[in-house]
Amino acid sequence: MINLLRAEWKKTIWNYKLTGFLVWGFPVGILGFYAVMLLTGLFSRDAMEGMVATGSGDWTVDALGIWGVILAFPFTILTRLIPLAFMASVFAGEYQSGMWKYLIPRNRRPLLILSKMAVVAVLMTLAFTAASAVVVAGQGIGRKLTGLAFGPALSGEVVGDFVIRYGQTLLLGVLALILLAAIAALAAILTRSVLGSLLVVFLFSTLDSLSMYILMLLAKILSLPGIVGLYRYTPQCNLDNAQSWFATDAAIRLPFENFSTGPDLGFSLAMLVIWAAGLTALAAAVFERQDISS
Amino acid sequence: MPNTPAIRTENLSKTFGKGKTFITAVKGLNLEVARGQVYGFLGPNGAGKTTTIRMLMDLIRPSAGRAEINGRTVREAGALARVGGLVEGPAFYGYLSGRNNLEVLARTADDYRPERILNLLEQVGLAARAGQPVSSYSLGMKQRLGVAAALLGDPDLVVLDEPTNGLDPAGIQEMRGFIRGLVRERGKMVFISSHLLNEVEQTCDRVAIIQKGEMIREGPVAGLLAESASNLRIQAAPLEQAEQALRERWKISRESIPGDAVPWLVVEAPPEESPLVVEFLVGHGIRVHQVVVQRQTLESYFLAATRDLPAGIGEAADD
Repeated sequence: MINLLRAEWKKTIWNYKLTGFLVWGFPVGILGFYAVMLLTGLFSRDAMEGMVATGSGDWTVDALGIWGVILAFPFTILTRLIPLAFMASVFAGEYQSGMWKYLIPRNRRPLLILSKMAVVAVLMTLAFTAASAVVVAGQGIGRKLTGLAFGPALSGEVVGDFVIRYGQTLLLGVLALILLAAIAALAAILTRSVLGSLLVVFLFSTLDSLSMYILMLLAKILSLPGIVGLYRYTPQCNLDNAQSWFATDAAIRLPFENFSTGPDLGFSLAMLVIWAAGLTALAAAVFERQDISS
Repeated sequence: MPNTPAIRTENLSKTFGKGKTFITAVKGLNLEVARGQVYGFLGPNGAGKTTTIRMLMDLIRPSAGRAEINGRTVREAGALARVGGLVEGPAFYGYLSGRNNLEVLARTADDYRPERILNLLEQVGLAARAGQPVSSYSLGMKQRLGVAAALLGDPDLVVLDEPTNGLDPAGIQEMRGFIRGLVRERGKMVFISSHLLNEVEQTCDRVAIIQKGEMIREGPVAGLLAESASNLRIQAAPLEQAEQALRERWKISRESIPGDAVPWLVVEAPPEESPLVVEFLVGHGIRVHQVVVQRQTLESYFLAATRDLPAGIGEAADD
């Protein structure tokens, strides 16, 4: 399995055009933004203040901000497009390059899919983590130059709390990435095209993001008020709910009469794992039965 | 498993589509390929060759029947561990070098040996370009890289689908020698599908011909060619007199070849009867200018077999 992961890693990481835009674009793009703003700020205090105003003034908060690309509804409807395009390219790219015919006889099909999912999740995690570091560094320099505080001061307790908070966000981010990678894999297997799989996975992500409103609408149209209870089983509800538990130690508030609060944390984490594992198993099962005829 | 066939198919069938739009690509194919030979798999376009090869490589699931490699069904885990394949033209990651492409494939098979990759690149004549991106390779170079990829795991069985596509004449000759070398020097079994029948005739020990998904002929190349009689082509004078005389004993026809001033008489007789034919004509006071034995070629045999016509006559050779 290690060799398979290294093979997947090599062919993904060496695809500079793909990873350059859709993976490293996050840390490098943010680095470019701060470089330009800091240079401009050397000549204009307003520009410098404008730049630091994009942050919260708290590095433990700013460091988590980039994970909003994957986790922060409603922005996720659009911001997820970039990682989704990357995932669609990684999975459907094998059909377009015609490489499955060389890969499939060499290893078991489910492992080929799993190795792709692992590499996609690890690469995106590395990119977001690097972007977190760049944000903190950029904000830190900007605030230093403008004489503003960038708290809290480093201490064992602060660092310990931050590591736990970052770990919780990382856990949810990775779960969301695996879930999206699984649906991207399934979409790529079914459509065999990068654009087709991007459209399918974007549709899934958008429907999931809007699932609360869709269920409310359906409840009204079908006169079935209980149907909104299904929301607690959606990935979006459980991502939001788990974030709420981690941030405030309480469930999210829901605008439903019978379900006014989200489920407990264990339920949400279990649902996210079930979604990720279920979609992965479905993608592997469909791929196992698929004819590779091109 | 010395007596186990390298490849065995039993009623292997594949149907694409459902309802009224289904297409049967392969129908009840029974194939048994012994070890230690080069086996040719022939058929016109759309005959089902590549579909069969894809089923052998576990890329396509059979609709019915089974395919076995070295006595194990191809769907069994590890059944293809000792099989290398080049299916329907080369495909590689264009942004990776030839060496890196092979590394990715070797690692995918959990069998990465850097020295083997370098060795294979040398064998297929790509050592000098090993570090360059495959997108800069010609089709012939990609084809050679495809053969190197097929040989990565030092397989017992090598399945090659049109291995000489894109190669120049020197490359084709080199590839032919390479394939022969795989069998003679390294004891590999090679299963090869090709449109270049002259090449198959020179390379393969046995062939199977399929058409519309069904096997129509199978046997040793020499045996198949011997199946149909060769003809004698004769130039003699006076022509009408020769024609009349020969008709008494043999089936004959007249054939005009552009560029030849005098028509040929085509006599349906085996090569060993040529002295008899000459003696017969001379006995009738006819001058014999030329006698040519028309040898059956795999190409003419193939064309005749796939058109469902009696085997025709191809390449000529002076007797």
